[in-house]
Formats: sequence, structure tokens, C-alpha cells
Amino acid sequence: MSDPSLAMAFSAAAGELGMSAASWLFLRTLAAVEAGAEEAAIESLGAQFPVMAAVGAAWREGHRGPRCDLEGVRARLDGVTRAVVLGVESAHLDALVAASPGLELGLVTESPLEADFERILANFGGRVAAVSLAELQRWSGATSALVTFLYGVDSHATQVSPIWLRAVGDDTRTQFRTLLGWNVLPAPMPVYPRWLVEVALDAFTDVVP
Amino acid sequence: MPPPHHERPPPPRHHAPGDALADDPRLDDALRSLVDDPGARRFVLRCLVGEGPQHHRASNQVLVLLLAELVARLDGARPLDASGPQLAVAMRLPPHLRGDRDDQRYPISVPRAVLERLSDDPAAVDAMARAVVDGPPQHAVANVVMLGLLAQCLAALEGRPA
Repeated sequence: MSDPSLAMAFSAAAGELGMSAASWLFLRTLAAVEAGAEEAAIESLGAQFPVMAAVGAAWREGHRGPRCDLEGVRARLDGVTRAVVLGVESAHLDALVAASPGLELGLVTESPLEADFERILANFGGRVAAVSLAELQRWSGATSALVTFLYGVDSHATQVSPIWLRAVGDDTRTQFRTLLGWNVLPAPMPVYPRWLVEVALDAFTDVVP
Repeated sequence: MPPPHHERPPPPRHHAPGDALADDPRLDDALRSLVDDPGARRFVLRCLVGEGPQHHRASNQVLVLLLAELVARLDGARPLDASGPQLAVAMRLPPHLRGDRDDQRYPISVPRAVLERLSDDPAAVDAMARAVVDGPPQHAVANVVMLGLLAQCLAALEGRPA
């Protein structure tokens, strides 16, 4: 039986931390409170939140944190002077901000979940600017990148925030030098990715698997 | 409560069948003398053969490869003269979203002098310059790339720097 209050709490956390970051946080916290308590959350939340289901599967295999190939991202952003991130994954954003002092960063302030972007951006100490979808092209350029998080990668497809598809059209594709997808899950999701959308991998110029 | 999970549908495809043509490594070689930076060159190549209608991509590939072969046969691959007025392609941005950054244009330019071969009339050259840099990048950037390759051919035939 699912617990509606747990689902509400998870949804709120996922809106501001990201689906993957919230999943790892919940599992670590529940396991710390009572060994084995995380199993009920994997069953309950995993049925509603497919990223939690995928993270839960990784947890059962012994993983205790997200996939985060920061060096792979930095290599693919070589020559890029500013990047706009679409979607929120707090652990990955924290790492990118800390590792890229010379990179101008923006975050698109749209989400399929409820999110207080003023509060989210306050965590970055002024390093990350708010970018509305209407203003996205102001960040375009021959050394600009669009970056989003991928929720599992298979041989030809991945899942992303729907905000990616709202932002990346035929015009913006040729106004940004790099279209980077950064995978945060250890394995593709086996079920339909609710709150996410499936796109072909070749929609990106660069993928960090 | 959200609806239950269901099986994933087939994925969409961004690229059309036949795009394997665009993986030809000779394309990168063809632009090497025009765009020095590998990342910038990759961006320019994507605009030519990776984006836009498939018939434009394939046409760009065919024309660029043949022009590059001509340049190679003439031993003409050399950096273009960047000292004079240049033709560059600005990104087609809504006016209110244009910034003051230099890089809101594509990372390639060619000497405007290549057009001046066709007319002594500055107004006519202006009109030609406006035409070749107009349109989406699969047109405008491709035009500038091909003008660059043609400028190299002409310079090689005349035995002078490009």
C-alpha cells in the first residue's frame, strides 16, 4: 500500500532536488533511520516515480549514489564559455558549478513538477543565473551549450525532462554549439518514464553515458 | 494518483534514414583549412550536414566534398586572408534576444574580396553579400563554406595566397 504523504514529500523534494537526487536522498535517509525501511519506499514510490524505481534497483545492487561522470562532462564542454542547464539534478549541478569556475551558467526556470527556482538558485551563491524559456536564445552562441540530464541510456534512446523538448527546436539547435546529455542513472528505466519524455540519442551532439 | 506504468513506445528519430552519409570523415578534413578549432569546425559541420532538411544536408555534403577535392588537386588548402573585410553569418535571433557577444555568429568567415571579383559596383557586391549570408545555417553557413573553398581554388589557380 502506498503512503500518500510519502509520495507528496518525494514529489516536493524531486521538484527542487531532481528525481535522481531525491531518490538517493530518500533511500539513504530511510536506511539510516531503520535498516530495511528503504525497501518499502522503493516498492511504494517506485510504482509512481520511475526514476525512484531505477534508483531503487541500483540500491539493491549495492550502489549508494548517482552516476556522475563530471570529467566526461568537462571534456565535452571544452571550448564552451557558457552553458544553460535544462532540468534540475542538484548533486550534478553542485559538482558542475564547483568544477567549472570559468563557465557562465544558467538554469531554465521551468519544471514539470512544482519548484521554487528562487530557492534552488540561492544554493549556488550567484554562480547560476535564472533563464526563462523566452530568454533562452540570449544565451546562444558559437561557444554556448545546452545541457540536460538523461535518465538512462540505451543503444538509441534516453529520457529527459519535457522542458528539453520545449526549448530545443530547429532554431535553437543551430544556435548552440553543443547539445549535451548527461546521464544520471546507472541503467535504462524498464517502464514508461512518467514526467519524462523519450528522445533519440542522436538529438544530442554529445552524450555522457 | 498517476496512471499505472505501461510499455514504452518506439523512440522518435531526430535524423532521417540516409544520414549515415554525414559521418564521412572527409568532411572534417574539407573544412580544416577554413575553421582551425576542432570544436568550432564540428559545429559548422553540424550546421551543414547534421541539421535541416535532409536534401539540403546531402547536397551540402556532395558539394563540399567535391569542392574540397578540387582544392586538394590544386594544392590550394591554405588559411584565408583575414585582414580585409569578411563575410560572416550572424545567428538568426529575435532582435530583442541579440546580445552584445561576438560569438552570436557562426565560427567561419571568408574574405568579402571573393565577391568583388564579380563586380566593381559596391552596391552589387553588397547585394551579393546579403544574399549569401541570408537564410538558415544549412543555406547561409554552407554558402560561406563553399565560397571559402572556391576562394582557395581561385587563389591556387592564380598562384597567390588565398
